[in-house]
Amino acid sequence: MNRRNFITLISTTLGLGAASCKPPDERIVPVVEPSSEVYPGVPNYYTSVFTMQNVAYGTVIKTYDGRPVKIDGNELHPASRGKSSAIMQYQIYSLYDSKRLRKPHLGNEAVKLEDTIQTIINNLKSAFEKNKKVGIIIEQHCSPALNEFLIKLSNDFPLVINYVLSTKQSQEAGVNKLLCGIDGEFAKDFRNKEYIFSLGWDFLGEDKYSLYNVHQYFSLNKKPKLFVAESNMTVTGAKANERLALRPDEYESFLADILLHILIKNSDKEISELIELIKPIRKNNFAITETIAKNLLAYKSLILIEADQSPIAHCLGAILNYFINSDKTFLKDIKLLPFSANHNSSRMRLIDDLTNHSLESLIIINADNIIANDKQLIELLKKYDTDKKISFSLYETDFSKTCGLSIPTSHWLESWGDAISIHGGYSIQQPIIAPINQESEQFQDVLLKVFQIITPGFLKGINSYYDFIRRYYAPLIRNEEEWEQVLKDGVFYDTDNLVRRIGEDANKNINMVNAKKVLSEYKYYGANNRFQAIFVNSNEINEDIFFPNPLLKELPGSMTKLTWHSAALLNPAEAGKLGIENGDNIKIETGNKEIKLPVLIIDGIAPQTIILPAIQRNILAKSVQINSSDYRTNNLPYISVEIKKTNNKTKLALVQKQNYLFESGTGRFNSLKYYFRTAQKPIFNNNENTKDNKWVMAIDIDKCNGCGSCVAACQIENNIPVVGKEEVLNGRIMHWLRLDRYFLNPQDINNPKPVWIPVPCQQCDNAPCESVCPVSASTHSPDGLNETTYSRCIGSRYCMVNCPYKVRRFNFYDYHKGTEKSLELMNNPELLRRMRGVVEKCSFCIHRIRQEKLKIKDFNSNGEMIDSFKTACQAACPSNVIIFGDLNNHKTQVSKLLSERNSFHLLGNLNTKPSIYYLSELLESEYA
Amino acid sequence: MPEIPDKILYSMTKQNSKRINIILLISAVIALQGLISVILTLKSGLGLWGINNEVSWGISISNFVYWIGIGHAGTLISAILFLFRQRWRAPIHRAAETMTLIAIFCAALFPWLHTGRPWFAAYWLFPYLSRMGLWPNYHSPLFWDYLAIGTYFIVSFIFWWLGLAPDLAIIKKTTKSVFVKKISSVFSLGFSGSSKQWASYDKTYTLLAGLITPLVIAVHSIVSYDFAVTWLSGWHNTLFPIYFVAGAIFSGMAMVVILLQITRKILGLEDYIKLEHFDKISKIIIASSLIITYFYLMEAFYSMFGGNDYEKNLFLMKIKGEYAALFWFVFVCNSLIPLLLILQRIRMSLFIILFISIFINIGMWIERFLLVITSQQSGILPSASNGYTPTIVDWSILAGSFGLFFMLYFLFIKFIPVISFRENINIK
Repeated sequence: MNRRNFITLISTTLGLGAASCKPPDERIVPVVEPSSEVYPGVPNYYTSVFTMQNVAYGTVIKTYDGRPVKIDGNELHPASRGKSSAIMQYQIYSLYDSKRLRKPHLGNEAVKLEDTIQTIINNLKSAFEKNKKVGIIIEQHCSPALNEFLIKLSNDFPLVINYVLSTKQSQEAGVNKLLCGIDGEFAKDFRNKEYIFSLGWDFLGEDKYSLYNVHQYFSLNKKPKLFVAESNMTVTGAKANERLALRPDEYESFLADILLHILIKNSDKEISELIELIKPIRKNNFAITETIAKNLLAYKSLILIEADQSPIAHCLGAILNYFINSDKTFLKDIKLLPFSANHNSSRMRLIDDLTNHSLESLIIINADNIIANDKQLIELLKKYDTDKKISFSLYETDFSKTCGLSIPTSHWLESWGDAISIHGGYSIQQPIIAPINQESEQFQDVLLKVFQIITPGFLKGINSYYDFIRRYYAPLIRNEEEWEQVLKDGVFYDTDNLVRRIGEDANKNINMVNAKKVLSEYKYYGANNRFQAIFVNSNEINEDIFFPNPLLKELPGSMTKLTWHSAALLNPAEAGKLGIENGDNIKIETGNKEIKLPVLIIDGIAPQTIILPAIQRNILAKSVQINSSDYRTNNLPYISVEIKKTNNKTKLALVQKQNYLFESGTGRFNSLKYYFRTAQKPIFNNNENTKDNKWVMAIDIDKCNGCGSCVAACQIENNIPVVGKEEVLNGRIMHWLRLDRYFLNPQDINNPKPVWIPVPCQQCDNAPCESVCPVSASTHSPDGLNETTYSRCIGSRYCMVNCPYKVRRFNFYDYHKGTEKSLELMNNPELLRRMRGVVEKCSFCIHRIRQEKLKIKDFNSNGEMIDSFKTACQAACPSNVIIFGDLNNHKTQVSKLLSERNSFHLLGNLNTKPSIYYLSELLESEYA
Repeated sequence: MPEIPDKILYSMTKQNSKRINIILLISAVIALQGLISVILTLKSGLGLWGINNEVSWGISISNFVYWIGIGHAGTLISAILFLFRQRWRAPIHRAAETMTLIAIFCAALFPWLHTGRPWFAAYWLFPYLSRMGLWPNYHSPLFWDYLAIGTYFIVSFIFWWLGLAPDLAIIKKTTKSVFVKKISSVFSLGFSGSSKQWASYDKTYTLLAGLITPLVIAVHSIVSYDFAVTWLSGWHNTLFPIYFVAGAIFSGMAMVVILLQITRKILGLEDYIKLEHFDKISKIIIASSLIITYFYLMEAFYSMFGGNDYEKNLFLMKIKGEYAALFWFVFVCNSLIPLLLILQRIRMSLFIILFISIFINIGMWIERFLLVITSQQSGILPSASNGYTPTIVDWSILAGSFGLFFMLYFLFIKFIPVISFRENINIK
C-alpha cells in the first residue's frame, strides 16, 4: 500500500465513521399553550390537610413544576397555625417512595386496576345473593364526608357493615360515655388556667394532638403552673414546674389520694358513699398530694389524664374535675374533639362477626398496621378465607399479602378528601399531584364505582368522590367562587351548623350514679412490687403508624436521642441495682413471653419501671390474664414484667452520648451558665437606616421541647441526606441542626430538669472556620452570614476541627448516590445536593434570603425586609422558639425582642461573636 | 583519578543486592497493600476511615506530622552539622538526606489523601498569581503548610543533588556500563572536577546549607501552626513551634539510627559508619529528649496553672482519662527510656541504641496520635464529644507509608552511592 492509498483509506474510514455518528432523529414539540399556573422555576403553594387518625392539621404544600417539595403548616388553620411536626414534614417521602404498592395484586399476580373492580363486584354480589354481610374495616379518621359516605353505603346496602379501628382505644371517651353520655374526648383548653395537673399525659410531646397543644400552651401570655406525675420521662415532664416520678400502677392510688384530700371536708351523704368507694383504691399515702389538692382548689385548675389510662383513673379524674370547679359544671365550656369516640365496641363487633363467620366479604382500608398490632384480630383474620379479603393500602404489608386482592391506594397528597379539626375548622384535602402510581386510585372512588355498578341508582349524579365532597359541603360552599376561596384558605367554618356534626349535643354534666358504678364495677389491680412496663411511641419506632420512613427513623428521639432502633428505658438507679449499663441487652419476661431489647439509661423514669416501645405491647399483653369485663382487654397501660440481664451488648445509635453537663477531666457537673455568656444588646438609632442587613436568630431555650420539627423542616428544605444506622453509629449524622439535650439535675429522680438547646451554625462574625479554610470556601458575607461555597471546597475539614460548636457536617460518602429516581423528585431545586468530600452546614436558609432580596429589589423601592420571610426551622417550630430576622432594622421582631430581653451567646467567651442569641429565663436566673 | 574503594562505589555487590532485594520485596508488598487502601478510599470516600463529625482529623494527620518530623533529622545532619564543621557527619549525611526526601514525600501524601476531594486539592492550593484574591486563602495554615513543605522539598532535593553531582561525575568516568554512563553524565550536570568548579561548588554548597538551616526550624514550626493557630484547647499553644521542631529532630534522629544500622549491616559499611556516629547521634537524642521532657512539663504547668478551664480539663483527661495508658507510655518512651543513653556503656551497644530508637519512634507516633485526637474528642460542649477508633483502612495506609518509605530508601541504596565520595575520600 502506498502513501496515497493509505491516506485515502484512512480518511474514508474516518469520514464514514463520522457520518455514522449522527444522532438519531428526534422531534421536539414546543409548548403550544403554556399553563397559566405553572411557571418553570417558580414555586406554587396549595393548601391541603394532613390527618393522623382523628387529628387534622392544615397544610400548605410548596410545589415546583407540579411536584410537591415541602409541607408546611397552614397559618389560617386553627390546629396547625402554620406550624408543622416532623411526621408532617416527612410525609413527602412516602409520596415519592418507590417501595409503595405499585400494582393491584390478585393472589400473587399483578393485575390491572379495571380488572380488580370486576373482582370486587363479583365478591360483593355473591355475598348479597347469599344474604350475608360485607364488612368495611377502616382506620379511625376525621373526615365528615367519608363518614357520611360510609353511612350512605350502609343505609343503601343494609348488608354493608362499617367497622372503625384505632391504634389506641381512648379510655377517656369510654368513661365519658358512661359518666355523661358523650362518646368522645374533650378538647383541653389551657387558656385562663392557673394550675394544670397532668397524670402521665405527654400532651406536649408524643401525643397526636401535641402540635396543637404545644402551640396553644407556649403562646399563653401567663403560663399556668404545671404539675406532672408520670412514669416515663416525657417532654411534658421536662416542661413542668414540678414533677413526680410515679410508678404506673400507682396512678389510681395517687388520684384517689388527691380526691380524698378534697372530699374529706365534705360531709354530704352521697359524698361519703363515694369516699367509701374511693378509699380501697388508695393503696398508699403520698406526701405531695395534700399540696396538690390545695392548689387544685385554690387556682383555676385543670386535670389531664392520659387517654389510655384505666377507666378508674379517668373516672377519678372526672370526679376531681367536677369537684374542683366552683360551679360544678366543668363540662360547660368544654368542646368535644371530633371523631374521638372509643372504638372498642366496633372492634368487639368485628371480632364477634368474625368468630360467627357471618361476614362473607371483607374490605380493609388502610388499617393494616392497626390489625398487625392487634393479636386477636390478626389471628381471626388469618383464618379467614383469602379470597374474601380485599385490602386497600399504600404499601405492601404482611397483612396485605394475606389478602386475596390488594389494591394500592393513593397517597393523601394525591387524593381528594376533607377533615374536621379540633376547633371545628373544616379543610379540604386537595390532590397536589396526580397519582404518581398510574395503577392506584383513591379507595373512595373505587368503592363508588363498584357500588354504582351493583346498584346503578346509588348516589345518582355523583361520578367521583370529588363530586360527593362538593355535594356534602354544598350547603356551606354554594358556588365556584366560594369553593376556590375555601381551597385557597385551606380552612372554613360551619358557623350555622349547616353540615351534620357528630356527637356535639349531650348531657353536659357528670352523672354521679354512673361514676359510682364505674368505681365499683371495674376491678382495681393495684400496686405490686414487680417491675412495671409501659409502652410509648417515639420517632425511631413510629413505624407502626407510619410506614417505613427512613427520615423519621433517623430523627433522634427528643428525650432519648436515639435513632433507627428502639430500646428499653431505665433510670440510672434501677440500672445500677440490676448491674445494667447502657447498651446491655436484657430479656423482659412476663408469663411465658419474652422480648429482648438493649437498655438505654435515661434520668427521671419512675422507680421499678421500664419503658418499652409501643410495638412490643402485643407480644407481652397476650400472655397476661385478662378480665373480660375490663376496658383494658386490649390496651393495658402497664404490664408486670421480670427483667433479666444477658451477656450481649448492642451499640446504641445515639447522636448524643453525654447526657449531663459533665467535665470528663475534673468529673464535675457544670451549670448551664458555664457555657453561655451575656450578649450585648443592640443599639439602634431610629433615624438611621443601615444599608446592609444583619441576619440573626433568637432561640428561646425555655420554650423548646425538643420535638425535632425544626430538624425535619431543615432536612427537607436543604436536601440533607439520610445516612443510615451504620453511619449514625460512626458519628456521621448529617442533620444541620442539632438539638442538644442535657439533664441539668442528674441526682433528682423526680425532676432531672432536661433542657434542649437547638444548635444550628452560629454564623459567627469572628468565625474560626473562615480563617483556616485553605481554599476560601468558607467566607463571610456583607450581611453577616457565614457562607459555604461547596464547589470550591476540597474537604480538608479544617473548618470542622476549628468550629467550637461542631455544627459542620462532612459528606464522608456520596450519600445521595443510589437514591431512587422517584425520591430525587423530593429534592428542593432551590439548592444543590452536596457531593462526596464536601463540608456543609446550616446556611440560615440563604436561598430564601437571596430570593427575598431579589424580590424586594424588583418590586419594593425602600428595600426594607421586615420579617417578610422565615427560615425553614422557624416556620416549622410549633412553640415559636426560633425567631429570625434583621438586627440592623429596629422594626423587626427579633431586634425588638433582643433589645427588650437579656440574651446569651453560646461559648461567648471564645469571642466568636455568634449571630445566634439564646434567650432563657433559666440562664437569666443563673446569672442574676 | 583517585582510588575509590570498592566498598563504597560498588557496595551493591551481587550478595548485597540479594539482601536488598528481599527487603525491597517485603516493603513493596506492604506498600502495595497500602496502595489498595488508598485506591479504595479514593473510590468510595473518606467514610472508610475512622473519622466522624466531631473528630474529623484522624491518624492521617498524625502520620503527616510524624513523617515531616522524620525528615528533619536528615537536614540537621546534612546542613546544620555541615555549617558547624562537624566532620563526622561525612559518611552518614547522604543516607540522612535521602531519608529526608523520602519522608517528605510520605508526609505530603497524607494531607492530600485526607482531603475530601483530593483531585481538586492538588492544584487548588497551587499559589498561582491570585489577582482576584479568590483562592488560595493566605490566612490558612494549611496553605502555609503547602508552601513550607513545597519549599522544603525543593531545597532539600537541590541540596541532595548538588552533593551527588561530583559522585555521579566519578561514576561516569569509572563505570563500564554504557547505560550508567549516559544516565550519570546527564545527572552529574557536566561536573568535571576542575578546580574552578570545585571553588564555586563549595561556595554553593555552603550557601545552600545556610539556606536550608532556617527551613529546619521553619517547616516544622509551620506544621505546628496547623494546630497552634486554631482555638482548640491543647492545640492553641505558643509552645508548639519549638516543641514540634525538637520532637521532629528527636524522632528523626532515632529513625536515622534505625536506617543507618540496617544500611551498615546490609552493605557491610562497618569501616565507614562507625560506633562513633551512633554515639554522637545518641547525644543529640538525649539533648532533644530533655527538651521534649521540658515541654511536657511546661505543658502540664501551663494547663494546670494557666487559668484556662478547658486546658486544665483536657490535661486532666489526658493523664487519667480514656487515653491515660497511652499518655504514660509516651512519657516512658520519650522521656525515660532515652535517658539510658547517658550511660557510656549503653551508647556502645548498637543493639540497645536500635532498641531505644524503635521505642522513641513508637512513642513519638503515639504522641502525635494523642495530640491530634484528644483535643478534638473533648469539645467544650459535652454534646460535641465523640470517640475515635481508626479503621483497618487507616492502619493499612499507615503501614503502607512505612512500606513506601523503606522501599524508596532501599531502592536508593541499591542504585546510588550511599556514602559521599567527596567528603570521605580525598578526590580533589
